[in-house]
Amino acid sequence: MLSLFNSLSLDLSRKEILGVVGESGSGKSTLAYAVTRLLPGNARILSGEITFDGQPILRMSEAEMRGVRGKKITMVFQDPSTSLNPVFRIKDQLLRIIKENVGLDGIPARQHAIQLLREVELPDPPGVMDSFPFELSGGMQQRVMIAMALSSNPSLIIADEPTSSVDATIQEQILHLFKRLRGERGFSMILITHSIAVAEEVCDRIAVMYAGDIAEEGPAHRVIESPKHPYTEALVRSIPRPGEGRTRKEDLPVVAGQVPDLRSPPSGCRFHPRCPYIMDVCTGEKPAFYPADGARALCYLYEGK
Amino acid sequence: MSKTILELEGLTKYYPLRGGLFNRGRGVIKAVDDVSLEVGEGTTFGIAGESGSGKSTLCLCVARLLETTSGRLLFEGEEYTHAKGAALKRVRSTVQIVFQNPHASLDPHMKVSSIVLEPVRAQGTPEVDEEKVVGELLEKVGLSPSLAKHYPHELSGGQSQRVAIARALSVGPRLVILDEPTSALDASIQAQILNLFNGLQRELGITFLLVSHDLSVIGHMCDRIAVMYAGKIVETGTFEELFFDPQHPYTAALLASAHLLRRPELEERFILRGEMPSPRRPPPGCTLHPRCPFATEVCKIEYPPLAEVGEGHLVACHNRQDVRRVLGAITS
Repeated sequence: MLSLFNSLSLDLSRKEILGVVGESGSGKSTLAYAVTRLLPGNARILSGEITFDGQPILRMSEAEMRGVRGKKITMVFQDPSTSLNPVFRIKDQLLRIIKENVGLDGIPARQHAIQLLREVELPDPPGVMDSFPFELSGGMQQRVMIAMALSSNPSLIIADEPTSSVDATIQEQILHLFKRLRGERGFSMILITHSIAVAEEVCDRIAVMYAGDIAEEGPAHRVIESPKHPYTEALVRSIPRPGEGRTRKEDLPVVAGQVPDLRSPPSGCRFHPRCPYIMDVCTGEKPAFYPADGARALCYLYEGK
Repeated sequence: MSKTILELEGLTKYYPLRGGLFNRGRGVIKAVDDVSLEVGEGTTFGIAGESGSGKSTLCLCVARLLETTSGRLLFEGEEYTHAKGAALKRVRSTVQIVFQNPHASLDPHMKVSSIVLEPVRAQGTPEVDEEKVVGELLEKVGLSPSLAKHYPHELSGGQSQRVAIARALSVGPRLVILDEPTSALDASIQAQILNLFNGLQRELGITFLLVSHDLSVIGHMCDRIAVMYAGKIVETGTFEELFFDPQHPYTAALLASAHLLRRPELEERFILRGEMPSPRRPPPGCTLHPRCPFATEVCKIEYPPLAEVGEGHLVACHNRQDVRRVLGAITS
């Protein structure tokens, strides 16, 4: 059995963008699927609560959940080319979602669809409606996915690596689009990403995940500029930042060792085998969240400070 | 600058476009279009660009895994553009390549030892103590020699990429082409692999041609840099020139999107509109003009020449003075 998130707690306010940052296998996507109750069949949520708009998500019936998922909570995935059905035109897919989640049909549905495509800054919305996915570039496909996620005017959008499959200049366009739409529509967002740079650019707060735990959580700039948890510190320092003090070709600081196997995670703090600041206490009981300079860190270094 | 080890003269690679009745030729896609550059021995030359810029095609041409359409490739002054037989075999022992996706570039049927030795065997090098050679190569890339008996699926992404690097090193190459070598890896693994490359360069004096879309990586690793867009070099120069005095709007846009422009308040001004043009129907004039915030009438008509703006700093832009003015490099 893999045990993830044994001490995870997060709050997301209205209109807030929360970045969930972590490397492969850190559990960041599992977190997103838990919120939408789309975890695979062999996953069990053993304890804890997820409350959305005051409603307990984990205790809802599947019918109640369908009124939330895809309507009040929508998702944008990493690879739009596998999320869009290749044999249907964009209009077929978009209008179906609008019918299902908004209850519109016929001409009002089409008007709504065109309005959405315009809102995500796609040129020639009627032309896009008549296109097949393969006729659109990756960046345009991702805008279509965002239009679909917006169609029911959700209060929460979960975006799982939404810009990882597009180029840098297109990524920049899409991140700006998210920020603009959040300002206009006022939804909250959970942005899951492996890229600290992406999280820093759009998020109000960042949660850094390591081996299924949130290692640190706090205001985005604070977490990146003065990381508190040793893992965050190591992760931030391992990114090359040319022209900012460090000499070119100089060795980058690296985290020694490997990400632990979650089938037999280390005792105590899951980062202790790799941590340069290890203390005796770290191998015993799991640390709690301690406040650290406006953020929270799952680390004994901040106990009683 | 150190002695030139690799030189490209007007390197061009066109792909024929076929289609329509009887599959007749319908023009060409200019994947790499008239690219010239020189790489100094023991240095790292970076090629920055996005998908479709032609940077990977360029790598394949330099490695002689693709035939070039025209132009010349020279290694230490000796042309190898169309080398065959023994001469091509010599190229294979001096020029090696490491690809982006380590899982795809390692044969799943082969053990690590065979993978690493394959280039050596292809060279026909006689009588080597294979086990010893493999062990040394694996240690050189920071792996335990005990991995030799493993298959690729048993390795992590970082380990696989190290095996691919060991394979490239097996024939003692002087130039190693790195095509997005860390793009498939996590941030903490990326740092380890970049450190490995720099260590190898310090110890063995290997020259690298590093292709990446990630300007942070390029900036950290490279002595000289060329920025490519739609098959052409739009700006080339030293790290300092490109990062501290970018003159092409596309270079500035790439820096802005990576937050490396050093003028955060100006980043918005360099966001490009739209997307890279289809290579089947490139726009007339400068290929960037439909997206460029600095485009003027002349950009729609004429492709700007690659002009020398400083020693070895070349820029292909009609309006480079406007870019510099916005960035505050010049005041008037």
